[in-house]
Amino acid sequence: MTETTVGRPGRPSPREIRAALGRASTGRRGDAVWAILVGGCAVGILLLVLAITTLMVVESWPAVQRFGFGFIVGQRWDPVGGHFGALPFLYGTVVSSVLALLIGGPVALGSAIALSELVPRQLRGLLSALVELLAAIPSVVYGLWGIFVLAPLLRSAVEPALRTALGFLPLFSGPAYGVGTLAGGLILAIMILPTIAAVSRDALLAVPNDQREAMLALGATHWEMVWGAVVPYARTGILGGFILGLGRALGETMAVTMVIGNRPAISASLFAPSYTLASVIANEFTEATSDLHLAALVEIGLVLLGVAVVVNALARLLIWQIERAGGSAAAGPGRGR
Amino acid sequence: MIPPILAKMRPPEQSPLALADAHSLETVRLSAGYGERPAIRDVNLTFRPGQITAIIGPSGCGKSTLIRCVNRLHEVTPSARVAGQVLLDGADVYAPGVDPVLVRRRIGMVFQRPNPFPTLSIFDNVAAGLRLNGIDPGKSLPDLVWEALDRVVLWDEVKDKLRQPGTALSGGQQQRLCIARALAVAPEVLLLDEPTAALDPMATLKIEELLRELKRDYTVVIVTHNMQQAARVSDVTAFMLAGLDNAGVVVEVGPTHQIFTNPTDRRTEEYITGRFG
Amino acid sequence: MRTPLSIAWHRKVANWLLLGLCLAALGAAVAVLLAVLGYVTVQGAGGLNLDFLTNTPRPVGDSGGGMANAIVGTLILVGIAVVVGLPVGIGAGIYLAEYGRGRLATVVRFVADVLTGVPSITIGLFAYALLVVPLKSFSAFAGGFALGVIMLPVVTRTTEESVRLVPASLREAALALGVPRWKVIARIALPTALSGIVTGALLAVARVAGETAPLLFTAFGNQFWSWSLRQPIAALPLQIFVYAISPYDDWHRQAWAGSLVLVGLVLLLSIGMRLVVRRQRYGG
Repeated sequence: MTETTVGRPGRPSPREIRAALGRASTGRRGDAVWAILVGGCAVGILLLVLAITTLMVVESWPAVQRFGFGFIVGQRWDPVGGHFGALPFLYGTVVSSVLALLIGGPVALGSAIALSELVPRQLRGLLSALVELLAAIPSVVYGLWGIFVLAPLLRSAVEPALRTALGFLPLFSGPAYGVGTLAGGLILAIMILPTIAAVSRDALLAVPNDQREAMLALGATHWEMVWGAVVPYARTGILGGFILGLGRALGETMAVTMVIGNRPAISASLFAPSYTLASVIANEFTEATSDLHLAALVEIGLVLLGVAVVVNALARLLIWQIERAGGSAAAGPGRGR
Repeated sequence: MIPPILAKMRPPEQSPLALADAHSLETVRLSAGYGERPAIRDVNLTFRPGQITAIIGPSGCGKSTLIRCVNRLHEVTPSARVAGQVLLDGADVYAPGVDPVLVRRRIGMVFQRPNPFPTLSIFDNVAAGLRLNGIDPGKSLPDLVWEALDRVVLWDEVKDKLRQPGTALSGGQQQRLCIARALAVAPEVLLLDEPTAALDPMATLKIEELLRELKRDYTVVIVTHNMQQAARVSDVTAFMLAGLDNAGVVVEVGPTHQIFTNPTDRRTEEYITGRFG
Repeated sequence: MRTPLSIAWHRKVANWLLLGLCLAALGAAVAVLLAVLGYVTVQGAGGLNLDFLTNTPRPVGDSGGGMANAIVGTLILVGIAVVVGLPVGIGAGIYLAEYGRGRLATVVRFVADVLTGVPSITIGLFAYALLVVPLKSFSAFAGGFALGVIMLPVVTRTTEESVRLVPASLREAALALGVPRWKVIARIALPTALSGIVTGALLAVARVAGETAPLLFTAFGNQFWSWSLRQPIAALPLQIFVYAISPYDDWHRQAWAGSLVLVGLVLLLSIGMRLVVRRQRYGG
């Protein structure tokens, strides 16, 4: 008992330790500094977004003033003559993105179904990782592959075949160069596939087992169970994945620029070259001929920003719903079976 | 009725000393809860130095909430509410202006699952309470660490692996490490929240032995759902039960020997015999 | 009336067909991956030699030369991006994890998520307006800054997730010792979450290393070695782009070689990180 009050020589006694602890800082100031520091970083993100929007509006103002709403519907993009209308680019962006969704979406959904319902659990992680690896390949590499592998393939085999079979449709009319809207749509489809597949797979894996069992108990085949019970249950998440993919397609720049032909013309044919909002900025910005040209390009950037933000916000809201319902973003030891 | 085994229990050990460093703890009408839900109501208990006080009761009766109110850990949860007083040597730790950080430095806590810091070595774990609070004992640090580990009878087992991570030990050893970590800051009171719940019987017995040693120098409070443990280890036992509003209240408190052989409240007797019967 | 015990044949056929299509879809996705990687490897290996890795580009039309300055340039740009985006991203992530219940936290979280979807070329425009216009010059710093802004929301979310994963029991143990709250975060929670934070940061790095669009009018590209932050600088994706759309066969070959290097770098980071995460989740 004496040991509690008298320390050994050189060693602080418990009394001394307690006294030191009582004197030591309680971190009031540290807490405040820390909170301000990290809180400041968080606020910094908000300020950043504000700065982005503000600067873009400021830089594009000359064009906004000049063309007003006509910018969105104007069909003529003529830097030399000073006429700037963004409709061809809006058209190109929308068509290529929708095409990407139409081609890539079903393939992505099919892959997601395969990953969550069909593939044995041991392989699920590996195959999911392979699909997600598609997202890791840089855009410019896809563009390079598009120019030298995909476009020639389209020009020599795919597009003539389409023309022979379906040439009566305006969609497949006109000369086929390989590069063009179809090439752009295909490359985009490949690039958004991993996004849609990953989100859809998570949504499907989050479906509780009793849904599957109930369907099977009614005598459904495996497919009928998947299509009739699992997919509908997961449809919010799947939709979110599709919209997220759409958002990515809208903003994609390099790969599209390299295979879409870069001609600002509105055409009904998929074989025809096209031009997207992102591509025209990429191609013309460093060689802009006038301040008005620059401002018009920044305004295109603003339009692109607006569209992408709206689409992404929508997608995030949908995805937050499935995250709250219990899905998680891991390709881990699976749910499901 | 009461099984014969309890009738053979010894009366509470006499506290063999008048501690110069005696610290008593007392709760006065302590109530607490989370948001709208009450957890404990009007708890009046006294914890005396030199003895072990056990708090027993079925799960959900608020035992853990009670001791977490004692070291002001309860209020860390966002929706937590506390009312009443907790007097440490007569001074209310909830008085306005009292810094909870200082309160927690005077009261040590050991948790249900051993939780050594995984990024720190065994040595650093024990020293953490001092170092993280900005105290550098300099050359006496190894001595202090040795003493803490020696008190929990862990020194011989870890003296050759002090640099290994704190998680590289068995469950029982980790829990003793956590007790050493708590002791290294010379607390006045030691709170243990179901300390052996996650341990095997051998480890449990070792820790119970340790507690009997520790009570000589500390005011020890142990929450346990294991009645045999309470009977083996404690000098005073308080029995808690959740009332109609789900708030826990103290049904009966008294010397352990008496509680287990001759409880005054019928509910206490039901609880005790129910478990043994 | 006898009820059939076997399923109608058309339902069976549909079952096999449609499930088969799903597997085929998965196969197609993997096939495309292998096709792209295959072409890059085969075509790129042809142009990958010591010359390529150590020389700067030759004038237009001359054969030979390499992308050494572009490879180094990418490393420099990534370095700047890390300095710009990592501290703020980690700080915001800690805020969201530790103080993350209020209205502000919800808004920040949502905005960060939306920011990850902003087209990278618009971030480039932002960096142009912010840094290139006032300083009247394309610069490595502007390029790195743009990449840092792209990294920022990704790092924020992964940091938040990692810090959240730290068990409450560890925090409580520290609090019970009377450690002030900020030290509980800085000295206990952060070190425990460190590997997760690093993983997230490296994944973000892998993503921005391959970005081209934001560099088009910030870093701009450079035929020569450049070590100044205020001058234009070469970058691997930029160089690949310029060479790919050029009419010269030799440049095309170099574009493939550059792609091989770039893809190798990015995949190494991505796969490496995935392996680390899996080992942690399942064994470590």
